[in-house]
Formats: sequence, C-alpha cells, structure tokens
Amino acid sequence: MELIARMIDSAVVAVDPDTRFLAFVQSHQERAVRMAWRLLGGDAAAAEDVAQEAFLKAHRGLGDFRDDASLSTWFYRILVNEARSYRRWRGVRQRWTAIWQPDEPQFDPPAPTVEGDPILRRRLAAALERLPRGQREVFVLVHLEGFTLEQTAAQLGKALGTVKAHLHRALHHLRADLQDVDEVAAWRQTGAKR
Amino acid sequence: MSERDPHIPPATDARRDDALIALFHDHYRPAARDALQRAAFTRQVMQRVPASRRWGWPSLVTAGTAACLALWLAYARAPLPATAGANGATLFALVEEETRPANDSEFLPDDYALLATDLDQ
Repeated sequence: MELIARMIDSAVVAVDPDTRFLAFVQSHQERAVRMAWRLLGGDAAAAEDVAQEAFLKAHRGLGDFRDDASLSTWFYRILVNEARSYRRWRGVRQRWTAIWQPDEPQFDPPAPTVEGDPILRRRLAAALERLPRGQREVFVLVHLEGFTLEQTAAQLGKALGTVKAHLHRALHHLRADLQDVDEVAAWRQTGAKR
Repeated sequence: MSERDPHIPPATDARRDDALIALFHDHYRPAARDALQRAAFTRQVMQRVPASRRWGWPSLVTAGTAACLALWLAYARAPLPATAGANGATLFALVEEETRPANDSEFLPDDYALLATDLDQ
C-alpha cells in the first residue's frame, strides 16, 4: 500500500513541475532565508526578498538544470549569487546616499528581529562584514549553515583548497577582531565542560 | 620536526574557534519564523511564478527572435511579382526622360530658348 502511494506521489511529482517546485520551496525556505539573513548582515526584509528571487530564478532555470548536480547545491549557488548581487547594489546605494544625502543614516539591521544579545550581535555582524567576501561566504556556509567543504566548494564554484584557505583566514581574522569576546566565550565553554 | 598543516589550527586555537562559532550560533541568527510567515512566503513565491514564466527575459528574447524570423520569411524571401519586368521597363523610361540634358530647347519655354540662342551667338 505504501509502495503504491509512493508510486502515485512520484508520478504526480514527475507530471506536475509546479507541485515539485512547491515542495522544494516548502522544504528549503527556512534554510534559504536564514542563509540570506546571515550573508546580508542581518537584514530580515532583504533576506526574504533575496530568497524569493532565488526561488524564482531557480524555477525559471529548472529547464537548464543538469541532473548530475544536486538540486539543492544548484539552488544555494543561485542564492549566494543573489545575495552578492544584493550586497553590491546596497553598496552602490549607500555610496550615492552618502554623496547626495550625507545626513541619511547608513544601513543598520533592525534589532527586534533577532535572537540573542543585541549588542553582541552587532559586534559579530560588524566583524563578519569586515571580512572579504570570499571568507565571509565560506565561514557562513561551513560553520553557520553546516555545509561540508565539498558542498561549499560546489556552491561557490571554487576549488576545495581555496575554500579551506578562505576558512582558515576567516577564523584567523575573526579571532583577532573578536579577541576579548572570544576569550570570555572560550573560558565559559571550558567552565561548562568541567 | 614535521611542519604543521596550516589548515589545521593548534589545539588551543581549535578550542577558541569552537567557542567563536558557538557565539555566532547563539547570537547571530534570525528570529524563528512561524507557520504563518512560512505559508505567506510560499504563497508569494507561487503567486510570482506565472508572471516570471510569462515575462522572463528568455521568453521575451525567444518571442522577439521568432517575430524577426517570421518577418524575414514573409518579406525578404518573398518571390518578385510577375509584372516586375514590365514595371522595371516603365520606370527606366521615366528616369531617362527626367534626366534628359537641360539645354534641349524642346523642353524649355520660348523665352528661355531665345536667351539660349543669344548666349550662343
């Protein structure tokens, strides 16, 4: 009975691409929005927009999708590109705003939409923003989103060695930037383990 | 003494890295989205799907190329009409008549013909 139900499900999925796409959106949206949020420095509205655009681009490109690549790897690659594009435009907008309206406040993510200590969050976000793009992306994908080094390399279109080097440098920079916080956190973690 | 792999941090660094990453996990994450927000997100994406399918730039490019091809087939490759030879001959005669030399007195008013005679003398 279960086998028959599964066969019907797979037939529906095979016949109706929109049903397949809907299931894909439902299963990946949580991670997509969270990943966009982290890549965009904690801007919740922008994260939703970028995730939506990534899903729509994926839908448009489904015809070009090669089955030899994982669908999720392909999708997260689109998402990373969308986030990059959004950051570029935000940078351009900020520069123009700074030139024409110097009194306008710069981008500052809204605090109420986050969990944890808001002051510490600002420091972490600022440290992450100061990293070069490649290091920031690799750190978010590997350490915060839990992708493997191989998956990250595939998603970013980089060699495995480059990903490892970026990760090493990112941790080095973050340790230096957040030295005081890091030492306290390490001390706390050691204390908790005892 | 063997050299340490630069990609593998020493033990103390590894402990500090774990603490650092845990900090990011605890304090650098968005607020959890509820079922309503997730449903709204899915609805918005699915509502935008038909529009993206209709007006996506690949479909516009395809439609434009097809229109250009159809125009080319309709006009550039159309055979010449059967009366083209006759029409061409008529047009040639007209051009010849219009470009006849201006000093041909037959085509000039009388006074201009006289003036031309005076000048010749």
